[in-house]
Amino acid sequence: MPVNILPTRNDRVLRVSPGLLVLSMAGLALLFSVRLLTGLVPIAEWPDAIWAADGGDVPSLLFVYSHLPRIAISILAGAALGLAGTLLQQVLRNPLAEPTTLGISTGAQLALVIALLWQPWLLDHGRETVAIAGALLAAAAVFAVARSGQSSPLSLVMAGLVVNMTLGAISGVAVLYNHEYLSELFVWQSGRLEQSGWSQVLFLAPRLVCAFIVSLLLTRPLALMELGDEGAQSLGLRMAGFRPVALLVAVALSASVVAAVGVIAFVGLAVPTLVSLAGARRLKERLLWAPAFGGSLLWLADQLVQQVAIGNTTLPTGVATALLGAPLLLVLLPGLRNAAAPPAVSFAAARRLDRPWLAVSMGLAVLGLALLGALAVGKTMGGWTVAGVDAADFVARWRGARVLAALSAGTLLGLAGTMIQRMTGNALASPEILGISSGASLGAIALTVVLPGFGLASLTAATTASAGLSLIIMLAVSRTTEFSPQRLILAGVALGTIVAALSEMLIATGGSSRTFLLSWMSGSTYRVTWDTAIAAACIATVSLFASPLFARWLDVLPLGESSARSLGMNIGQARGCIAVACALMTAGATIVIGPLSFVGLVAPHLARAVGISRALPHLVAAAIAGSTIMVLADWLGRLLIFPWQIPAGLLAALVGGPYFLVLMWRRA
Amino acid sequence: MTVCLSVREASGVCAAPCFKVEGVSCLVGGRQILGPVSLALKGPQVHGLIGHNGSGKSTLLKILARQQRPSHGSILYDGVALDRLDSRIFARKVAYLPQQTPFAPGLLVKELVAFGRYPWHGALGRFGSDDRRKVDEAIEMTGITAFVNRAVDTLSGGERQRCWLAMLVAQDADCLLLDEPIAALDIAHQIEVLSLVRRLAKARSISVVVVLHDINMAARFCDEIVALHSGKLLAQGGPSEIMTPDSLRRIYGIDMEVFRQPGGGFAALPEPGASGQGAPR
Ligand SMILES: Nc1ncnc2c1ncn2[C@@H]1O[C@H](COP(=O)(O)OP(=O)(O)OP(=O)(O)O)[C@@H](O)[C@H]1O
Ligand SMILES: [Mg+2]
Repeated sequence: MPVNILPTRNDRVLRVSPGLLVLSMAGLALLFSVRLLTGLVPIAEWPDAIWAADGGDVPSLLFVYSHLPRIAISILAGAALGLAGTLLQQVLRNPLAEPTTLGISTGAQLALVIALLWQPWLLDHGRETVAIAGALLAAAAVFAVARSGQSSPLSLVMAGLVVNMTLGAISGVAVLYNHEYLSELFVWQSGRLEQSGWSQVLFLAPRLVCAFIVSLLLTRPLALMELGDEGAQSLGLRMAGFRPVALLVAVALSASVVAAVGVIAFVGLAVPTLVSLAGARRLKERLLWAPAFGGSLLWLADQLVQQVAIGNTTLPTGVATALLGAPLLLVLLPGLRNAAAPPAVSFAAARRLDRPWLAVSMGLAVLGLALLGALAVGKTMGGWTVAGVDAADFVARWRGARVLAALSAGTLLGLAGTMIQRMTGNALASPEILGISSGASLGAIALTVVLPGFGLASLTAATTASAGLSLIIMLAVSRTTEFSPQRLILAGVALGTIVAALSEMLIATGGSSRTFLLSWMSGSTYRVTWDTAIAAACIATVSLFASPLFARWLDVLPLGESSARSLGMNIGQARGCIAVACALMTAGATIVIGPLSFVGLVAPHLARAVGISRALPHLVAAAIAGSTIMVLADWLGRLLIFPWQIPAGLLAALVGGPYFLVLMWRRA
Repeated sequence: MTVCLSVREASGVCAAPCFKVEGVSCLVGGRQILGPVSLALKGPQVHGLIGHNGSGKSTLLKILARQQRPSHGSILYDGVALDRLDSRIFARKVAYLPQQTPFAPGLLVKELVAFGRYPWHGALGRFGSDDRRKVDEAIEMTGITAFVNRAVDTLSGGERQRCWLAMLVAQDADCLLLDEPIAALDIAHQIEVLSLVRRLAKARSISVVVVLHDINMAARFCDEIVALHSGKLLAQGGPSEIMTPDSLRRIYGIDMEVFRQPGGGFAALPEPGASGQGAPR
């Protein structure tokens, strides 16, 4: 079952209708555009400029071949993303579905990165083709993994998430070892709308129109999907037929947008939600209003971007939409209906172990082996070495700290992930969803800007402080609903989007600190000192011993709010405590290995897949799984491309992702 | 201790109302879906809550169970304002079975029933032998011994409903609020579950508020029947007062014939050719 966050018809949250919303945004955008354009060509000369552009002077050339197409492309791209987002959310019945959820944007982007690095001529001739091919391949991988189970929404989104992380990790590695292309690569990540002619507009417009017509034709069957698979099937709708068509339309459309202007975050996610908050309840209304709203939102964002120059460049528009839209979502959240959410987006294990603790101890043995390997086995220029007891000093100096750090971070993420998944009843939740790791990275980013020559102590202080601050924001926006999971998730996503946008911008424009930021954000353990490692180990130990305190809550909470309450649980208190605990653990892990919390998503699933279902063994098993993955990733990262290293966080995503996909594929 | 410490010890003697509802109403999106309702539900008795679809039965029950706050009005339980009670203390007094039981993925029946002891041991307390005994007792009473080791989500609708009921029994509360507990049961199990509820009420001298759609079951198993109509209290009384063609017409908007059974019970059937106008909106 999806997380149900859409408001019902009765409680319109915004006081405005969708029409008013669109009109006001478009009006504002128009105002800005006219102001900008009149600065270039006086309004009386516009017709002349348009008709006689080719023979005209520089301003009218700019007018016709740069500014006008830029306005057109911003509207088209926004509309396309709004439409694609609406389709995806409807078909997958998950409010977190957006073009990135299915790996679409990441696939397109990775294809472009690969083409740029190895076959640059491809980009001159068929950038669109490359992007669309990448997007389709990624989407195909997602569908292949989720193929059976009639492509149920959950397994699709899950597969999308993991494919996404894996592809992101691959392009992360590519970028990490090709710094010289960084700026060029990041252009696609942050979405830029500068135009030099009408070709992009002519590329996108017909595709948008086709997609729009197809989705209007599909309205009826798509609307039935709200009943869920069983309900729709009993009304004679064959889901297997319509879902792929609708998905294909959405995928192709978003890939075209990536090809045309790069990845523009947030529009696909937020626009459908905002439109239904404004009262467009029926699918048909949403299909009409979402493109309109998306178009005007992106238009406005793009105009705003052009008003403010930062240095000699402007903010990428993708960053601006996130900065504009995310706070809007945060502001709207308190008005969101506190629906008694269906509790389950859960992967119930296919089997159940009778003796979970046996599995836990076996896991512990595997972890022991991994630790032994990571500490003892290494590589030198001469080849493989195995350190004996006599080399204890060497091991302690060079390997001890990072292995301990990896171990602790894995434990923390495993625990935090399990808690969040059980508390939210959403199997897709991971520590980063609380916005904590985003908050922590924001601290690190701010630090690199404010204080370029920082030390470890100030890094720790900055990340902890900003993780705490984002926790406070998160709790504040969701307090009125006793920290209802849906609201926490949406608030976390909004916060995460802002941070991602800011950090991408800083990396794209940044100077000396960007190498540090990149390596920190890719989860490297190189810089870990004994101090950090011991601090993290202390936090991990305390968390591990404190986790039984949460076990009962975590057992009962998946039953849903109403049952938990009728059993006498103080819901607000319980969720508040769990959220705070998760935040502390995530912050602890983030300081060591950066914001990559893939492990926090996978470890709880691994424990579940083995057949562990009660909260306490689940917590412990996830902690063991998480630390095993991290220790292995750290070890392999040191060996694989010796003498270079792959950051442990990246490697965990790189290896863990495909493994997880295979697991899903076999179980499906 | 004090006079009305517990309805159990004072059963029959102390006729203090277990719930006292005063002027309670509930507004959703400007629409009044319940009330204002004032009523008193007395001591250890089985109260049947009846009414047409959408008459506000579930809403009233949710308000009594503190799942939902009323927009106006006050509710006392054993003389104490409802919102002044600590949540675990309240759960030891009042147990609630929602109309739609949640899906419990991967959970075993025995674990579900054991959750009923949460109000007693809390988040950290020990699950003691007393708790174990109550759980075993509840499992036996509800006749679900055969599937204690099955996963809840693999059970049939009726089996599942009985498991949830077992959880409530294990909760050992002074008052049970049951929203349509027999909706998914076959006739034999309907009788079995309602007899169980009634036996429980008498043996432990607890009070029960049970939402029922089958007026005959209500008449047979309840000491008192409360009828709602369009969110308002329409009638409250013993089965003999409610089981008249006149009041049934007012409750359901349909003509019914009432028979007296030889054993002293009542049975009501729609009159041949009667067509319901349904509930006026
Ligand atoms: N969250 C809500 N928003 C809007 N209307 C609501 C909400 N909850 C209940 N209602 C309305 O309040 C009225 C009473 O609902 P309630 O669930 O209490 O009825 P009921 O008597 O239990 O019906 P049934 O016999 O069908 O279970 C109904 O008309 C319902 O549509
Ligand atoms: Mg009801």
